[in-house]
Amino acid sequence: MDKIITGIQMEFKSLRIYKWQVITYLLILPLSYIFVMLLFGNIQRNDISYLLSGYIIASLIGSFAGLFAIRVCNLMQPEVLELYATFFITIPQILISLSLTYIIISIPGIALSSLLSIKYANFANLLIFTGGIIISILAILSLGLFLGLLIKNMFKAQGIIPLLSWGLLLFAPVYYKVQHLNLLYKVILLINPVTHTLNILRISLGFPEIINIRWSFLYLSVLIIVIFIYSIKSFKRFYILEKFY
Amino acid sequence: MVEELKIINLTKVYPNGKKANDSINITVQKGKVVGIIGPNGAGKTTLIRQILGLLAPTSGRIEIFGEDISKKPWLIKENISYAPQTILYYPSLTVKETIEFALRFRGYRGKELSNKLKESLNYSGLEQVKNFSGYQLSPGLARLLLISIAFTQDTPILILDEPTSMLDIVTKTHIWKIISELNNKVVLIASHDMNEIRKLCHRVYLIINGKIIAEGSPEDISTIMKMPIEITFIPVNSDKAEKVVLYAKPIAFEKEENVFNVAFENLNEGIDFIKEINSCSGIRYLQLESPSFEKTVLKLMEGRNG
Repeated sequence: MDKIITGIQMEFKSLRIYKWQVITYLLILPLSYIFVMLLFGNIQRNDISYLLSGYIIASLIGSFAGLFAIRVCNLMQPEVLELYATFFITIPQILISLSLTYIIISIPGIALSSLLSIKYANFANLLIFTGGIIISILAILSLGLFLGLLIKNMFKAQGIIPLLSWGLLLFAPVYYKVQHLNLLYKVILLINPVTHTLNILRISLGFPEIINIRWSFLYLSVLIIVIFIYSIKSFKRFYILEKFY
Repeated sequence: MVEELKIINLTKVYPNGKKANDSINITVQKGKVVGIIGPNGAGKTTLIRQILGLLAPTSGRIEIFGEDISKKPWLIKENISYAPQTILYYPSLTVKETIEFALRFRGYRGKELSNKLKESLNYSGLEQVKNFSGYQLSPGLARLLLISIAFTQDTPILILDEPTSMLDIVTKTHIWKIISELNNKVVLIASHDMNEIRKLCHRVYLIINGKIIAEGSPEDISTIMKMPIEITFIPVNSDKAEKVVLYAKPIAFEKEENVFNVAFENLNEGIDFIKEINSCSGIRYLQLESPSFEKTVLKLMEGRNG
Protein backbone atom coordinates (compact mmCIF):
# COMPACT_ATOMS: atom_id res chain seq x y z
CA MET A 1 0.00 0.00 0.00
CA ASP A 2 2.92 2.32 0.78
CA LYS A 3 4.15 1.98 -2.79
CA ILE A 4 0.70 2.78 -4.19
CA ILE A 5 0.52 5.95 -2.07
CA THR A 6 4.03 6.96 -3.15
CA GLY A 7 3.01 6.19 -6.74
CA ILE A 8 0.00 8.52 -6.41
CA GLN A 9 2.18 11.29 -4.98
CA MET A 10 4.64 10.83 -7.83
CA GLU A 11 1.88 10.97 -10.43
CA PHE A 12 0.50 14.17 -8.92
CA LYS A 13 3.95 15.76 -9.14
CA SER A 14 4.30 14.47 -12.70
CA LEU A 15 0.99 16.09 -13.65
CA ARG A 16 2.32 19.59 -12.88
CA ILE A 17 3.73 19.84 -16.38
CA TYR A 18 0.41 18.78 -17.88
CA LYS A 19 -1.79 21.09 -15.78
CA TRP A 20 -3.29 22.83 -18.81
CA GLN A 21 -4.28 19.51 -20.38
CA VAL A 22 -5.90 18.52 -17.09
CA ILE A 23 -7.81 21.79 -16.86
CA THR A 24 -8.90 21.50 -20.50
CA TYR A 25 -10.06 17.88 -20.27
CA LEU A 26 -11.72 18.18 -16.88
CA LEU A 27 -13.16 21.67 -16.91
CA ILE A 28 -12.98 23.69 -20.09
CA LEU A 29 -14.26 21.12 -22.60
CA PRO A 30 -17.13 19.70 -20.49
CA LEU A 31 -18.18 23.15 -19.28
CA SER A 32 -18.08 24.62 -22.78
CA TYR A 33 -20.93 22.29 -23.77
CA ILE A 34 -22.97 23.47 -20.79
CA PHE A 35 -22.20 27.05 -21.76
CA VAL A 36 -23.54 26.45 -25.28
CA MET A 37 -26.69 24.88 -23.88
CA LEU A 38 -27.20 27.83 -21.53
CA LEU A 39 -26.94 30.19 -24.51
CA PHE A 40 -30.15 28.65 -25.87
CA GLY A 41 -31.93 30.21 -22.87
CA ASN A 42 -35.27 29.14 -21.45
CA ILE A 43 -33.49 26.87 -18.97
CA GLN A 44 -35.73 25.33 -16.33
CA ARG A 45 -34.53 24.44 -12.83
CA ASN A 46 -34.77 20.80 -13.81
CA ASP A 47 -32.58 21.34 -16.89
CA ILE A 48 -29.69 22.47 -14.69
CA SER A 49 -29.76 19.09 -12.97
CA TYR A 50 -29.85 17.38 -16.39
CA LEU A 51 -26.87 19.36 -17.70
CA LEU A 52 -24.83 18.92 -14.53
CA SER A 53 -25.33 15.15 -14.57
CA GLY A 54 -24.09 15.33 -18.17
CA TYR A 55 -21.09 17.37 -16.98
CA ILE A 56 -20.22 14.68 -14.40
CA ILE A 57 -20.01 12.04 -17.12
CA ALA A 58 -18.25 14.39 -19.57
CA SER A 59 -15.56 15.17 -17.01
CA LEU A 60 -15.14 11.44 -16.31
CA ILE A 61 -14.66 10.88 -20.04
CA GLY A 62 -12.10 13.70 -20.15
CA SER A 63 -10.26 12.35 -17.15
CA PHE A 64 -10.38 8.60 -17.82
CA ALA A 65 -11.04 8.03 -21.54
CA GLY A 66 -8.81 11.02 -22.33
CA LEU A 67 -5.96 11.75 -19.94
CA PHE A 68 -5.80 8.37 -18.20
CA ALA A 69 -5.93 6.43 -21.49
CA ILE A 70 -3.04 8.47 -22.92
CA ARG A 71 -1.08 7.97 -19.70
CA VAL A 72 -1.62 4.19 -19.80
CA CYS A 73 -0.48 4.15 -23.42
CA ASN A 74 2.59 6.17 -22.40
CA LEU A 75 3.28 3.77 -19.53
CA MET A 76 3.30 0.82 -21.91
CA GLN A 77 5.98 2.31 -24.17
CA PRO A 78 9.21 0.26 -24.02
CA GLU A 79 11.34 3.21 -22.93
CA VAL A 80 8.90 4.15 -20.15
CA LEU A 81 8.76 0.53 -18.95
CA GLU A 82 12.53 0.62 -18.89
CA LEU A 83 12.49 3.90 -16.95
CA TYR A 84 10.17 2.39 -14.33
CA ALA A 85 12.54 -0.60 -14.15
CA THR A 86 14.88 1.80 -12.31
CA PHE A 87 12.36 2.10 -9.44
CA PHE A 88 11.31 -0.50 -6.87
CA ILE A 89 7.70 -0.65 -8.03
CA THR A 90 5.93 -3.06 -10.38
CA ILE A 91 3.89 -2.06 -13.43
CA PRO A 92 0.56 -3.26 -11.93
CA GLN A 93 1.32 -1.15 -8.83
CA ILE A 94 2.00 1.86 -11.04
CA LEU A 95 -1.24 1.26 -12.90
CA ILE A 96 -3.23 1.14 -9.66
CA SER A 97 -1.54 4.38 -8.58
CA LEU A 98 -2.43 6.01 -11.89
CA SER A 99 -6.07 4.89 -11.66
CA LEU A 100 -6.40 6.25 -8.13
CA THR A 101 -4.69 9.52 -9.10
CA TYR A 102 -7.15 10.19 -11.91
CA ILE A 103 -10.09 9.22 -9.69
CA ILE A 104 -8.84 11.68 -7.04
CA ILE A 105 -8.48 14.42 -9.67
CA SER A 106 -12.09 13.90 -10.74
CA ILE A 107 -13.60 13.81 -7.26
CA PRO A 108 -13.92 17.57 -6.52
CA GLY A 109 -15.75 18.26 -9.80
CA ILE A 110 -17.98 15.21 -9.39
CA ALA A 111 -18.80 16.04 -5.77
CA LEU A 112 -19.74 19.65 -6.52
CA SER A 113 -21.76 18.78 -9.62
CA SER A 114 -23.50 15.94 -7.78
CA LEU A 115 -24.58 18.24 -4.95
CA LEU A 116 -25.87 20.85 -7.39
CA SER A 117 -27.63 18.37 -9.67
CA ILE A 118 -29.37 16.81 -6.65
CA LYS A 119 -30.29 20.28 -5.35
CA TYR A 120 -31.88 21.31 -8.67
CA ALA A 121 -33.55 17.95 -9.39
CA ASN A 122 -37.29 17.48 -8.75
CA PHE A 123 -36.55 14.06 -7.32
CA ALA A 124 -33.41 12.27 -6.14
CA ASN A 125 -32.71 8.69 -5.15
CA LEU A 126 -29.36 9.00 -3.41
CA LEU A 127 -28.68 5.27 -3.30
CA ILE A 128 -29.08 4.81 -7.06
CA PHE A 129 -27.25 8.10 -7.71
CA THR A 130 -24.25 6.95 -5.63
CA GLY A 131 -24.32 3.53 -7.27
CA GLY A 132 -24.53 5.27 -10.64
CA ILE A 133 -21.49 7.44 -9.89
CA ILE A 134 -19.46 4.44 -8.73
CA ILE A 135 -20.32 2.27 -11.74
CA SER A 136 -19.75 5.23 -14.08
CA ILE A 137 -16.27 5.77 -12.63
CA LEU A 138 -15.44 2.08 -12.96
CA ALA A 139 -16.89 1.74 -16.47
CA ILE A 140 -15.24 4.82 -17.96
CA LEU A 141 -11.96 4.09 -16.15
CA SER A 142 -12.05 0.57 -17.64
CA LEU A 143 -12.73 2.04 -21.05
CA GLY A 144 -9.71 4.34 -20.69
CA LEU A 145 -7.56 1.42 -19.54
CA PHE A 146 -8.70 -0.64 -22.51
CA LEU A 147 -7.93 2.17 -24.98
CA GLY A 148 -4.53 2.80 -23.40
CA LEU A 149 -3.57 -0.87 -23.59
CA LEU A 150 -5.02 -1.36 -27.07
CA ILE A 151 -3.29 1.53 -28.85
CA LYS A 152 0.36 0.61 -28.60
CA ASN A 153 1.76 3.60 -30.43
CA MET A 154 1.92 6.72 -28.28
CA PHE A 155 1.90 9.10 -31.27
CA LYS A 156 -1.21 7.45 -32.69
CA ALA A 157 -2.80 7.49 -29.24
CA GLN A 158 -2.40 11.25 -28.95
CA GLY A 159 -4.55 11.62 -32.06
CA ILE A 160 -6.96 8.70 -31.70
CA ILE A 161 -7.83 8.97 -28.00
CA PRO A 162 -9.16 12.57 -28.08
CA LEU A 163 -11.16 11.61 -31.18
CA LEU A 164 -12.66 8.59 -29.43
CA SER A 165 -13.45 10.70 -26.35
CA TRP A 166 -15.23 13.14 -28.61
CA GLY A 167 -17.14 10.24 -30.21
CA LEU A 168 -18.17 8.91 -26.78
CA LEU A 169 -19.52 12.36 -25.90
CA LEU A 170 -21.28 12.92 -29.22
CA PHE A 171 -23.00 9.53 -29.34
CA ALA A 172 -24.46 9.79 -25.86
CA PRO A 173 -27.17 12.07 -24.53
CA VAL A 174 -24.73 14.03 -22.39
CA TYR A 175 -26.22 17.43 -23.19
CA TYR A 176 -29.27 16.56 -25.29
CA LYS A 177 -32.44 14.58 -24.70
CA VAL A 178 -33.26 11.29 -26.43
CA GLN A 179 -37.04 11.48 -26.38
CA HIS A 180 -37.34 13.08 -29.82
CA LEU A 181 -34.62 11.05 -31.54
CA ASN A 182 -35.45 8.33 -34.07
CA LEU A 183 -35.26 4.68 -33.05
CA LEU A 184 -32.11 3.82 -35.03
CA TYR A 185 -30.16 6.67 -33.40
CA LYS A 186 -31.45 5.56 -29.99
CA VAL A 187 -30.17 2.03 -30.67
CA ILE A 188 -26.77 3.42 -31.69
CA LEU A 189 -26.67 5.47 -28.48
CA LEU A 190 -27.34 2.34 -26.44
CA ILE A 191 -24.18 0.68 -27.77
CA ASN A 192 -22.21 3.46 -26.12
CA PRO A 193 -21.56 2.65 -22.43
CA VAL A 194 -21.67 6.37 -21.67
CA THR A 195 -25.41 6.36 -22.50
CA HIS A 196 -25.95 3.74 -19.80
CA THR A 197 -24.01 5.71 -17.19
CA LEU A 198 -26.18 8.73 -18.00
CA ASN A 199 -29.31 6.61 -17.92
CA ILE A 200 -28.58 5.44 -14.36
CA LEU A 201 -27.72 8.92 -13.09
CA ARG A 202 -30.73 10.56 -14.72
CA ILE A 203 -33.21 7.95 -13.55
CA SER A 204 -31.93 8.55 -10.01
CA LEU A 205 -32.65 12.28 -10.55
CA GLY A 206 -36.18 11.67 -11.76
CA PHE A 207 -35.66 11.94 -15.52
CA PRO A 208 -37.37 9.46 -17.91
CA GLU A 209 -35.45 6.27 -18.60
CA ILE A 210 -33.84 5.51 -21.96
CA ILE A 211 -33.78 1.80 -21.15
CA ASN A 212 -34.57 -0.14 -17.99
CA ILE A 213 -32.00 0.69 -15.33
CA ARG A 214 -31.29 -3.01 -14.72
CA TRP A 215 -30.07 -3.40 -18.30
CA SER A 216 -27.76 -0.42 -17.88
CA PHE A 217 -26.25 -1.84 -14.68
CA LEU A 218 -25.89 -5.24 -16.35
CA TYR A 219 -24.31 -3.79 -19.52
CA LEU A 220 -21.80 -1.74 -17.54
CA SER A 221 -21.00 -4.60 -15.15
CA VAL A 222 -20.27 -6.96 -18.04
CA LEU A 223 -18.12 -4.29 -19.70
CA ILE A 224 -16.12 -3.74 -16.50
CA ILE A 225 -15.59 -7.49 -15.99
CA VAL A 226 -14.54 -8.11 -19.61
CA ILE A 227 -12.02 -5.25 -19.56
CA PHE A 228 -10.76 -6.32 -16.15
CA ILE A 229 -10.07 -9.83 -17.50
CA TYR A 230 -8.40 -8.35 -20.60
CA SER A 231 -6.20 -6.12 -18.42
CA ILE A 232 -5.26 -8.95 -16.09
CA LYS A 233 -4.26 -11.00 -19.13
CA SER A 234 -2.16 -8.11 -20.42
CA PHE A 235 -0.31 -7.79 -17.14
CA LYS A 236 -0.23 -11.48 -16.29
CA ARG A 237 2.68 -11.79 -18.65
CA PHE A 238 5.47 -10.97 -16.32
CA TYR A 239 7.86 -10.36 -19.21
CA ILE A 240 6.19 -7.16 -20.29
CA LEU A 241 8.53 -6.11 -23.12
CA GLU A 242 7.83 -9.40 -24.95
CA LYS A 243 4.66 -8.02 -26.48
CA PHE A 244 6.69 -5.55 -28.54
CA TYR A 245 8.40 -8.32 -30.49
CA MET B 1 28.93 -21.22 -2.50
CA VAL B 2 25.92 -19.27 -3.77
CA GLU B 3 26.66 -16.84 -6.58
CA GLU B 4 24.84 -13.52 -6.36
CA LEU B 5 24.03 -13.53 -10.07
CA LYS B 6 24.27 -16.51 -12.35
CA ILE B 7 23.24 -16.79 -15.98
CA ILE B 8 23.02 -20.38 -17.13
CA ASN B 9 22.82 -21.44 -20.79
CA LEU B 10 20.69 -18.44 -21.61
CA THR B 11 19.32 -18.32 -25.12
CA LYS B 12 16.97 -15.73 -26.51
CA VAL B 13 15.41 -16.10 -29.93
CA TYR B 14 13.04 -13.36 -31.08
CA PRO B 15 9.84 -14.30 -32.94
CA ASN B 16 11.50 -13.14 -36.19
CA GLY B 17 14.09 -15.89 -35.70
CA LYS B 18 16.95 -13.60 -34.67
CA LYS B 19 19.09 -15.25 -32.02
CA ALA B 20 19.98 -12.39 -29.67
CA ASN B 21 21.67 -14.54 -27.02
CA ASP B 22 23.11 -17.99 -27.59
CA SER B 23 23.95 -20.24 -24.62
CA ILE B 24 25.28 -17.43 -22.44
CA ASN B 25 26.93 -18.45 -19.16
CA ILE B 26 27.98 -15.69 -16.80
CA THR B 27 28.65 -15.82 -13.09
CA VAL B 28 29.10 -12.75 -10.94
CA GLN B 29 30.15 -12.82 -7.32
CA LYS B 30 30.07 -10.28 -4.54
CA GLY B 31 32.76 -7.65 -4.77
CA LYS B 32 33.33 -8.28 -8.45
CA VAL B 33 32.72 -6.00 -11.39
CA VAL B 34 31.90 -7.88 -14.56
CA GLY B 35 31.92 -6.24 -17.98
CA ILE B 36 30.04 -7.19 -21.11
CA ILE B 37 31.45 -5.81 -24.31
CA GLY B 38 30.45 -6.26 -27.89
CA PRO B 39 29.46 -4.31 -30.99
CA ASN B 40 26.00 -2.76 -31.46
CA GLY B 41 23.36 -5.46 -31.77
CA ALA B 42 25.58 -8.07 -30.11
CA GLY B 43 22.87 -8.90 -27.58
CA LYS B 44 24.10 -7.02 -24.51
CA THR B 45 20.90 -5.06 -23.88
CA THR B 46 18.75 -8.14 -24.59
CA LEU B 47 20.75 -9.98 -21.95
CA ILE B 48 20.23 -7.16 -19.43
CA ARG B 49 16.51 -6.98 -20.18
CA GLN B 50 16.23 -10.69 -19.44
CA ILE B 51 18.05 -10.25 -16.13
CA LEU B 52 15.59 -7.45 -15.32
CA GLY B 53 12.65 -9.70 -16.18
CA LEU B 54 11.49 -7.46 -19.01
CA LEU B 55 12.11 -10.15 -21.63
CA ALA B 56 11.61 -13.89 -21.34
CA PRO B 57 14.51 -16.25 -22.03
CA THR B 58 13.79 -18.80 -24.77
CA SER B 59 15.81 -21.34 -22.80
CA GLY B 60 18.22 -21.38 -19.90
CA ARG B 61 17.78 -19.55 -16.64
CA ILE B 62 18.90 -16.65 -14.51
CA GLU B 63 19.53 -17.07 -10.80
CA ILE B 64 19.77 -14.43 -8.11
CA PHE B 65 21.26 -15.81 -4.89
CA GLY B 66 20.69 -19.30 -6.27
CA GLU B 67 16.97 -18.76 -6.96
CA ASP B 68 15.48 -18.94 -10.44
CA ILE B 69 13.98 -15.51 -11.18
CA SER B 70 11.24 -16.92 -13.40
CA LYS B 71 9.89 -18.67 -10.28
CA LYS B 72 10.58 -15.81 -7.88
CA PRO B 73 10.32 -12.63 -10.00
CA TRP B 74 10.10 -10.36 -6.96
CA LEU B 75 13.79 -11.07 -6.30
CA ILE B 76 14.66 -8.91 -9.32
CA LYS B 77 13.32 -5.59 -8.05
CA GLU B 78 14.31 -6.40 -4.49
CA ASN B 79 17.96 -6.98 -5.33
CA ILE B 80 18.76 -5.16 -8.55
CA SER B 81 19.24 -1.47 -9.31
CA TYR B 82 19.53 -0.55 -12.93
CA ALA B 83 20.77 2.37 -15.00
CA PRO B 84 19.54 2.04 -18.59
CA GLN B 85 21.50 2.82 -21.72
CA THR B 86 18.86 5.19 -23.14
CA ILE B 87 18.67 8.70 -21.75
CA LEU B 88 15.41 8.53 -19.82
CA TYR B 89 13.95 10.88 -17.23
CA TYR B 90 10.70 11.87 -15.57
CA PRO B 91 10.09 15.18 -17.38
CA SER B 92 8.08 16.86 -14.64
CA LEU B 93 10.03 15.65 -11.63
CA THR B 94 13.05 17.56 -10.40
CA VAL B 95 16.36 15.80 -9.85
CA LYS B 96 15.77 15.89 -6.10
CA GLU B 97 12.23 14.53 -6.41
CA THR B 98 13.32 11.72 -8.72
CA ILE B 99 15.96 10.49 -6.29
CA GLU B 100 13.56 11.02 -3.39
CA PHE B 101 10.89 8.83 -5.02
CA ALA B 102 13.46 6.14 -5.79
CA LEU B 103 14.30 6.10 -2.08
CA ARG B 104 10.67 6.24 -0.95
CA PHE B 105 9.83 3.23 -3.08
CA ARG B 106 12.64 1.47 -1.23
CA GLY B 107 10.93 2.30 2.04
CA TYR B 108 13.05 5.24 3.22
CA ARG B 109 11.11 7.75 5.32
CA GLY B 110 11.73 10.75 7.60
CA LYS B 111 15.24 11.55 8.76
CA GLU B 112 16.71 8.49 7.08
CA LEU B 113 15.21 9.62 3.77
CA SER B 114 16.48 13.19 4.01
CA ASN B 115 19.99 12.05 5.04
CA LYS B 116 20.18 9.53 2.22
CA LEU B 117 18.85 12.08 -0.28
CA LYS B 118 21.39 14.66 0.81
CA GLU B 119 24.19 12.12 0.61
CA SER B 120 23.08 11.01 -2.86
CA LEU B 121 22.92 14.56 -4.22
CA ASN B 122 26.34 15.34 -2.77
CA TYR B 123 28.30 12.34 -3.96
CA SER B 124 26.75 12.41 -7.44
CA GLY B 125 27.47 16.10 -7.87
CA LEU B 126 23.83 16.77 -8.69
CA GLU B 127 23.32 19.13 -5.74
CA GLN B 128 23.66 22.20 -7.96
CA VAL B 129 20.94 21.04 -10.35
CA LYS B 130 18.66 19.44 -7.76
CA ASN B 131 15.77 21.75 -8.65
CA PHE B 132 16.04 21.22 -12.41
CA SER B 133 13.14 19.30 -13.95
CA GLY B 134 13.90 16.20 -15.99
CA TYR B 135 13.19 17.93 -19.28
CA GLN B 136 15.73 20.67 -18.46
CA LEU B 137 18.64 18.27 -18.01
CA SER B 138 21.40 17.83 -20.56
CA PRO B 139 21.93 14.22 -21.72
CA GLY B 140 25.01 14.01 -19.50
CA LEU B 141 23.14 15.19 -16.39
CA ALA B 142 20.20 12.88 -17.16
CA ARG B 143 22.67 9.99 -17.41
CA LEU B 144 24.22 11.03 -14.10
CA LEU B 145 20.77 11.08 -12.53
CA LEU B 146 20.06 7.53 -13.75
CA ILE B 147 23.34 6.35 -12.26
CA SER B 148 22.56 8.13 -8.98
CA ILE B 149 19.15 6.44 -8.81
CA ALA B 150 20.86 3.08 -9.23
CA PHE B 151 23.60 3.82 -6.66
CA THR B 152 21.38 5.37 -4.02
CA GLN B 153 19.03 2.37 -3.76
CA ASP B 154 21.88 0.40 -2.23
CA THR B 155 20.86 -3.00 -3.63
CA PRO B 156 23.27 -5.93 -3.69
CA ILE B 157 23.31 -6.06 -7.49
CA LEU B 158 23.92 -3.12 -9.84
CA ILE B 159 23.38 -3.33 -13.57
CA LEU B 160 24.76 -0.43 -15.56
CA ASP B 161 24.19 -0.22 -19.31
CA GLU B 162 26.70 2.19 -20.88
CA PRO B 163 26.99 4.03 -17.56
CA THR B 164 29.36 6.81 -18.47
CA SER B 165 28.62 7.54 -22.11
CA MET B 166 27.98 11.28 -22.61
CA LEU B 167 29.65 12.16 -19.31
CA ASP B 168 32.57 14.56 -19.19
CA ILE B 169 35.92 13.11 -18.22
CA VAL B 170 35.84 14.53 -14.67
CA THR B 171 32.39 13.06 -13.92
CA LYS B 172 33.35 9.84 -15.67
CA THR B 173 36.43 9.46 -13.49
CA HIS B 174 34.34 10.23 -10.41
CA ILE B 175 31.80 7.52 -11.34
CA TRP B 176 34.59 5.05 -12.03
CA LYS B 177 35.99 5.78 -8.58
CA ILE B 178 32.59 5.11 -6.97
CA ILE B 179 32.17 1.84 -8.90
CA SER B 180 35.66 0.66 -8.05
CA GLU B 181 34.97 1.30 -4.36
CA LEU B 182 31.81 -0.87 -4.33
CA ASN B 183 33.46 -3.80 -2.62
CA ASN B 184 30.36 -5.49 -1.25
CA LYS B 185 28.25 -5.47 -4.40
CA VAL B 186 27.82 -7.31 -7.64
CA VAL B 187 28.25 -4.97 -10.59
CA LEU B 188 27.48 -5.84 -14.19
CA ILE B 189 28.49 -3.25 -16.78
CA ALA B 190 27.69 -3.29 -20.47
CA SER B 191 29.86 -0.83 -22.30
CA HIS B 192 31.51 0.15 -25.55
CA ASP B 193 34.17 2.05 -23.65
CA MET B 194 37.19 -0.27 -23.54
CA ASN B 195 39.02 2.09 -21.23
CA GLU B 196 36.13 1.90 -18.78
CA ILE B 197 35.96 -1.89 -18.96
CA ARG B 198 39.71 -2.24 -18.58
CA LYS B 199 39.81 0.11 -15.59
CA LEU B 200 36.82 -1.28 -13.70
CA CYS B 201 36.20 -4.93 -14.51
CA HIS B 202 37.64 -7.97 -12.85
CA ARG B 203 36.21 -10.16 -15.58
CA VAL B 204 35.10 -9.38 -19.11
CA TYR B 205 32.80 -11.23 -21.50
CA LEU B 206 33.05 -10.39 -25.17
CA ILE B 207 29.74 -11.05 -26.92
CA ILE B 208 29.37 -11.12 -30.68
CA ASN B 209 26.19 -12.16 -32.47
CA GLY B 210 24.74 -13.23 -29.14
CA LYS B 211 27.57 -15.61 -28.30
CA ILE B 212 30.40 -15.23 -25.80
CA ILE B 213 33.56 -15.47 -27.86
CA ALA B 214 36.08 -14.54 -25.20
CA GLU B 215 36.11 -14.22 -21.44
CA GLY B 216 38.62 -13.50 -18.72
CA SER B 217 40.27 -10.56 -17.04
CA PRO B 218 41.12 -7.60 -19.33
CA GLU B 219 44.76 -8.73 -19.09
CA ASP B 220 43.80 -12.28 -20.13
CA ILE B 221 41.84 -10.98 -23.07
CA SER B 222 44.71 -8.72 -24.11
CA THR B 223 46.94 -11.76 -24.51
CA ILE B 224 44.45 -13.98 -26.34
CA MET B 225 45.84 -12.90 -29.69
CA LYS B 226 49.37 -12.25 -30.69
CA MET B 227 49.35 -8.50 -31.15
CA PRO B 228 52.24 -6.20 -32.04
CA ILE B 229 53.65 -3.79 -29.48
CA GLU B 230 53.16 -0.19 -30.49
CA ILE B 231 55.47 2.62 -29.45
CA THR B 232 54.83 6.29 -30.00
CA PHE B 233 57.63 8.66 -29.08
CA ILE B 234 59.13 12.09 -29.66
CA PRO B 235 62.92 12.00 -29.62
CA VAL B 236 65.16 14.83 -28.55
CA ASN B 237 67.19 14.39 -31.73
CA SER B 238 65.06 13.30 -34.69
CA ASP B 239 67.90 12.56 -37.10
CA LYS B 240 69.65 10.22 -34.70
CA ALA B 241 66.34 8.53 -33.80
CA GLU B 242 65.55 7.91 -37.45
CA LYS B 243 68.87 6.09 -37.87
CA VAL B 244 68.14 3.89 -34.85
CA VAL B 245 64.70 3.07 -36.23
CA LEU B 246 66.12 2.04 -39.60
CA TYR B 247 68.69 -0.15 -37.86
CA ALA B 248 66.08 -1.79 -35.51
CA LYS B 249 63.85 -2.85 -38.47
CA PRO B 250 60.40 -2.53 -36.81
CA ILE B 251 57.42 -4.25 -38.48
CA ALA B 252 55.81 -0.85 -38.97
CA PHE B 253 57.16 2.69 -38.95
CA GLU B 254 55.49 6.05 -39.44
CA LYS B 255 56.79 9.53 -38.83
CA GLU B 256 54.60 12.57 -38.65
CA GLU B 257 56.58 15.78 -38.06
CA ASN B 258 58.59 14.85 -34.96
CA VAL B 259 56.27 12.08 -33.73
CA PHE B 260 57.49 8.54 -34.40
CA ASN B 261 55.19 5.50 -34.44
CA VAL B 262 56.86 2.11 -34.54
CA ALA B 263 55.64 -1.45 -34.00
CA PHE B 264 57.50 -4.59 -33.00
CA GLU B 265 56.42 -8.19 -32.88
CA ASN B 266 57.16 -8.74 -29.20
CA LEU B 267 57.68 -6.81 -26.01
CA ASN B 268 61.39 -7.58 -25.59
CA GLU B 269 62.23 -6.12 -28.99
CA GLY B 270 60.25 -3.03 -28.04
CA ILE B 271 62.03 -2.59 -24.71
CA ASP B 272 65.45 -2.99 -26.35
CA PHE B 273 64.46 -0.41 -28.94
CA ILE B 274 63.38 2.12 -26.28
CA LYS B 275 66.71 1.68 -24.44
CA GLU B 276 68.59 2.23 -27.70
CA ILE B 277 66.62 5.32 -28.64
CA ASN B 278 67.01 6.79 -25.16
CA SER B 279 70.76 6.36 -25.19
CA CYS B 280 71.28 7.60 -28.78
CA SER B 281 68.79 10.43 -29.21
CA GLY B 282 66.96 10.91 -25.88
CA ILE B 283 63.18 10.76 -25.45
CA ARG B 284 60.86 13.71 -24.78
CA TYR B 285 57.60 11.77 -24.92
CA LEU B 286 56.89 8.05 -24.81
CA GLN B 287 53.74 5.94 -25.06
CA LEU B 288 53.79 2.16 -25.18
CA GLU B 289 50.93 -0.29 -25.61
CA SER B 290 51.71 -3.92 -25.11
CA PRO B 291 49.38 -5.48 -25.95
CA SER B 292 46.45 -3.16 -26.24
CA PHE B 293 43.18 -4.45 -24.74
CA GLU B 294 41.19 -2.25 -27.08
CA LYS B 295 43.01 -3.42 -30.18
CA THR B 296 42.78 -7.08 -29.18
CA VAL B 297 39.03 -6.75 -28.67
CA LEU B 298 38.72 -4.93 -31.97
CA LYS B 299 40.69 -7.67 -33.71
CA LEU B 300 38.52 -10.35 -32.09
CA MET B 301 35.37 -8.53 -33.22
CA GLU B 302 36.66 -8.05 -36.75
CA GLY B 303 37.67 -11.71 -36.87
CA ARG B 304 34.17 -12.83 -35.90
CA ASN B 305 32.31 -10.34 -38.04
CA GLY B 306 34.58 -10.39 -41.00
